[in-house]
Amino acid sequence: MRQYRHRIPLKTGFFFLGYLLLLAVPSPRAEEKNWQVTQETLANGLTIIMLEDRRAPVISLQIWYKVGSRNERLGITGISHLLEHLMFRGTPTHGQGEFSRLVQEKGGSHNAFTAEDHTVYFENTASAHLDLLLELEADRMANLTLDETGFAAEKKIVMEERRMRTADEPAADLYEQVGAAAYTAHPYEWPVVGWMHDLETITLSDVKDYRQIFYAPNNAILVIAGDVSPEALLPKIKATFGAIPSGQPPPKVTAVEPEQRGERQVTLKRPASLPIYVAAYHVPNFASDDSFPLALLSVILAGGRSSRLQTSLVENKALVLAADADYDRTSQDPSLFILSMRIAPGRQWQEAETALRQEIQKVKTQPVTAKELERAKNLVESTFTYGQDSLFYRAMQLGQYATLGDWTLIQKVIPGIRAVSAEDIQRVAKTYLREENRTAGLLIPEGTPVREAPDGGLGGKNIH
Amino acid sequence: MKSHLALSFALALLFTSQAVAAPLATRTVLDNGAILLVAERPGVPMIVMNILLKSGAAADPAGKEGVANLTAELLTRGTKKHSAQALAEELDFLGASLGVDADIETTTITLTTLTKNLAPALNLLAEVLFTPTFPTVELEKKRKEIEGGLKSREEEPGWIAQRTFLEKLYPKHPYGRLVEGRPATLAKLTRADAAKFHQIYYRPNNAIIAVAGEISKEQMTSQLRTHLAGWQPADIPSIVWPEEYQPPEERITVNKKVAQANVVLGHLGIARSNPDYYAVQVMNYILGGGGFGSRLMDKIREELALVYHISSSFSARKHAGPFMVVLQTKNASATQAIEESMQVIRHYSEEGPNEKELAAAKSYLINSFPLRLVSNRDVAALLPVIEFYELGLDYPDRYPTLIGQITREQVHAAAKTYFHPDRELQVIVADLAQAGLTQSGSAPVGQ
Repeated sequence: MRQYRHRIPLKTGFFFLGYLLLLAVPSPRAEEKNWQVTQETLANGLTIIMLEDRRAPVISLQIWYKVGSRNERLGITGISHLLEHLMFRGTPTHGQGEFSRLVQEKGGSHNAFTAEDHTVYFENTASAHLDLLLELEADRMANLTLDETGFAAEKKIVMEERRMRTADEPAADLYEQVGAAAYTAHPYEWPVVGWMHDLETITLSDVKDYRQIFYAPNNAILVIAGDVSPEALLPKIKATFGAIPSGQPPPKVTAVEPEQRGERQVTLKRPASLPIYVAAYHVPNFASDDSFPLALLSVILAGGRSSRLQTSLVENKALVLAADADYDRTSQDPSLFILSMRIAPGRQWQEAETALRQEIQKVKTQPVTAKELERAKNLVESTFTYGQDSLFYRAMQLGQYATLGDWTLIQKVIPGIRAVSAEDIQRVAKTYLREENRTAGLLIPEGTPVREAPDGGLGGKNIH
Repeated sequence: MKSHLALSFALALLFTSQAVAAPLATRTVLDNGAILLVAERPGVPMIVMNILLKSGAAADPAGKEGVANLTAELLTRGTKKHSAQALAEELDFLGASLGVDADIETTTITLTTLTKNLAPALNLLAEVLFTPTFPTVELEKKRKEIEGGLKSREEEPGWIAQRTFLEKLYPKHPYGRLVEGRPATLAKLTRADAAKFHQIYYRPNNAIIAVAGEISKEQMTSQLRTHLAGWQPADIPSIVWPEEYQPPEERITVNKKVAQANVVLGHLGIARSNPDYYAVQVMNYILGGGGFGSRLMDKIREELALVYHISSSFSARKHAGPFMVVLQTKNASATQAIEESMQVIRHYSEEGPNEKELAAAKSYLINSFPLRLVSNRDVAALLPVIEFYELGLDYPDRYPTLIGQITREQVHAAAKTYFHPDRELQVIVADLAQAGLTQSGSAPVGQ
């Protein structure tokens, strides 16, 4: 599951559509008009993506650093996110708090988030303040102040964040355990926020080294969308970012998760209201032809109000309060297709698990109807259109695909989605939604008896 | 152009034949009393519609608490023409979404659709508005779902803290209620109750219809006149609101096995109509509404590193809403974080804001306003609020002056008037042993 950490809590941040990134489908009519994109690269390796959209005199400026939890190692997990926090601690030119003060004074909103594959900083302001934003981002890319006082404070703050988001949030706690079990040889195994003990022991020296490697212009993509013209913009970017020296190419992540050859089971017993059941399957990403069928499968199973799991498990059988399907085709490395359910009060999780398996079996053995397929495609397409209502979201889509190596991939999504057949969906369900490929996670509210594994839990990690 | 606002400028660009800034929306009152606000916004082929009904959980009859919410939840669960399932399929097929959400004072129906699908989407909206059937089978399902939702939330210490706080602050007042009702009252609601609530309150003369998107005002008005033709007005019974009541100071602790103490501190705040509203808005931004740079953030997060999140708010509604400071910190720091926060507020009341933070607050509030009027969603959300609080469609143009004219003395006076440290409620949900706190005498939430 994609995990996002924010410096400012979500409700004061701007991140309301991010999770729909992968399902972007441009409508053909508006396609040319919509993607007035120019791409450039500076001598120091900084990639620049500019999207012209003159609907209003506003801009969304984002800088995507190609670093996330996937670049970490055990012992310093959480360092990418911690560094994201530290990026707001000031530079010699703009001291502690100045960045925020300057952006807010213009009425702008700003925040940042860290994920498995990237760390993104963004500001949204009137287009008149472009120069300020360029100057601020270039300044902290090159000149960030890192001192022991700020570092010690920010570590404590991140630990509070971890307590808030994971320790006291049963679903997140379970997902973290499922991720740790599903991956055995790949960095996606650890959480973006990092393990608590690593947070306690990371040193300032670790952070400085890490920043040196990953926060260089050749490892960054600057996305600017809105009331801008590339001709006017490029010289300004050169003037602000051009002098920052290039860094060494960062080390590549070479880990590959081996094929899973047997079901894994994770049980977590902790304070919670209701049981949660999760089934996670290893799947390919955008690089595979199977990614579009998988995206549609997630919609058919749990997207929209008439989805299979909603209809069967929530409405008809009242087994679960909510059912979700989570698949990010835009992950850098292959990740997980995750089905999750919150069990309804008074119902047994075993019933829900059985019902879920029945639904999965159905989708493997019977092709979806033409109407259902069309409905899913319409949902995806309309969701994309609604997303165009937000300049910030459009810039996010560009940043996401540019980080994967090619912003024009976004224009290939509609043909890809539209070309998916019922047979494709059946095929990917059979290929990936298999028992041997599954990590099952179960959250049991404290005080309830746990199920007994038939033979003591073969291949699983049992968490108590 | 009469102002430098980004929005006016943008609209002027769009309508180049006009020499003056276009208003945010055009306002029409339909024959049946519904107020229609339409903002034409070409660019993305979509339409967002918010219908705000001026009735919510506060209108629940005594003993039937939860009916406004149940009615809202059931509206899309079956009409004369479509079962719940069929309706869901139709909406999904159109790629449209139609939701109904009840709050204490209002109920909002939101329809989002592609412009090309407006006619079928409006057909479904009309069905849901005029001919919901409230099937008993769906009601039973919904009841269980609502109960399950409430149970689900019990695991959230933040929710428990807020619930406990509001119940204490508003013991006999609708603002202290859960829209879902109480388990005892929710259990007894029938389809007749929902049908009755619908029949009384879902009336055009009780409605504000706001639309933003790629459609002309003429087309939208004509479409709505057609689709809402059968919507008949009727007298809406008025509700008697209880007297304003500020409970005495109290600390309430709730024991829960958590890693963080979840704290809510506060007391009664102000109503939207209070003439000091703008001074309070500036005042609160400086204290803890403004995120980074605010006094609470600077002290409790940046300096003391006790929290990831801390904020303050004045929720100004038709009646006096709460003033709240909300924070989460590890159990062991709970009392320290509370004391330090109280100190910040005390100090702020005594000295008032300095010129620098006053200027920063005003600058943010004024400059951010137009940035929140760019998307269709934002505009469709703001328009009903403007109408509900009778702010006038020129409100975006007046806002810079309303905020700009606030002085340091006014903010200081507002701090002295509207902070009541001697009448504070403190709710702490924590692992009390780790926090070094004792269980207070009050019953935990949910009883």
